[in-house]
Amino acid sequence: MNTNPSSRQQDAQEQVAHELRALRASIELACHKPARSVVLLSPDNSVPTADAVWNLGLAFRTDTSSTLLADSDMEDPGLHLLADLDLAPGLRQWLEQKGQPASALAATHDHGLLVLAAGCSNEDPLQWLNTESIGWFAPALMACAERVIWRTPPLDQSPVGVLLAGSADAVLMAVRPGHTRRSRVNRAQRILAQAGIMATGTVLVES
Amino acid sequence: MTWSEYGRLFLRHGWLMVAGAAVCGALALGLTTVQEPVFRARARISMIPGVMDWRMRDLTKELARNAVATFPSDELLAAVQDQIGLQTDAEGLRAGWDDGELIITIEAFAGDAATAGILARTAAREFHSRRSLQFTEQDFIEFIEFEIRNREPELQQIAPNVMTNVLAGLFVGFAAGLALVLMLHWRDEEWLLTRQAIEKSVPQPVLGRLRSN
Repeated sequence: MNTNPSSRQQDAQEQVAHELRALRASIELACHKPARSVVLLSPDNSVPTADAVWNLGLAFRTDTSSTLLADSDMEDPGLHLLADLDLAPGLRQWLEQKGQPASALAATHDHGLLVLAAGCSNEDPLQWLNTESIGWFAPALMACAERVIWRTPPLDQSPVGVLLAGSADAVLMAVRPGHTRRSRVNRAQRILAQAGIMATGTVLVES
Repeated sequence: MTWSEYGRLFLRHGWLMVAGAAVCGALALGLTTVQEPVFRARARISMIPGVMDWRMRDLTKELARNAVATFPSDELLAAVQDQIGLQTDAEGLRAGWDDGELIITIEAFAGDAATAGILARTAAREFHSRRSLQFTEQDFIEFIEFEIRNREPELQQIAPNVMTNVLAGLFVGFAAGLALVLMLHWRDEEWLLTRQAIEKSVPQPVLGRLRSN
């Protein structure tokens, strides 16, 4: 047993890195192709989706391809805090102006990730993210990065996640053991089934 | 749930049922040692019709049932208290009637065997003398054989019953442990605490885990 604190920390980091690599491989195997667009859904607000999306971005990060994290939770945005960015400009401003998405994107210095912040808080994302707009903004974002990972509002609060999941390569259901209730997960599954969407897999979000 | 899932559940949490039974059994045993003892003394009085015809038999039974229903009367209780010099209440005396054997049973309950014996003996004697007098006045005594069968009452300690207490403790502990196991299982399932619970709740496989910062 290793008792050196720095070695233990290094071991823990290697363990996390291994888990992320395994997760990425599992996702790509489950969707039978490179997952260019990934949507992380949560049944309710028990899952810290900002952290989960951030770590998912780290899992997919490579030196040769860019990964974009997009925050569609305009009621409770969180990705910009992890990336140490301003809340605006972000997704809302870009959708409002229908301009080039690059103007709203920001790159994180240390992690090599592109981040599209929500752009606002306490607003209903359905005003901007709907069946009409998804036809142009999803392809536009895909043109900006090799891979786009969406953070979505909880499914019991907004159907935006379902909307985005419809055009995604991989749909992941995030569950936080000990915090997420089975009844909420079942409800989320029913919502997805009604929309004809089958989640690619489940991801455990643990502290 | 399938039988194999129940099996796994009890293998995982079964020790709770065993521990619950052991703890409650021990508590019951401990309670037994501090429980006040109760002794029962039983006197038997036969009440047989002198002539064995249906009318006399029915009459005897009616008289016996009436005697048992009104036992102990206030006068009998007062007389018993006077004779033994102890305060006792109606709860300490009880009478029963056996239709098949034609026997009236007088039972006395007390914290020690001697008191219970004296109480039963005195109550039986007093009951016998008062009813004999009554039957004489009503001209029934010639037709009914009415006598105390055992001058020394049968004595038995009825409480604490160690076996009953321990068995009850074991049962309660086991049932409480079982309830706890089922509650733990419900908690695991409802709050998705185990990977098995998650995989049962969602049709998709668990692909991996992410840590929240």
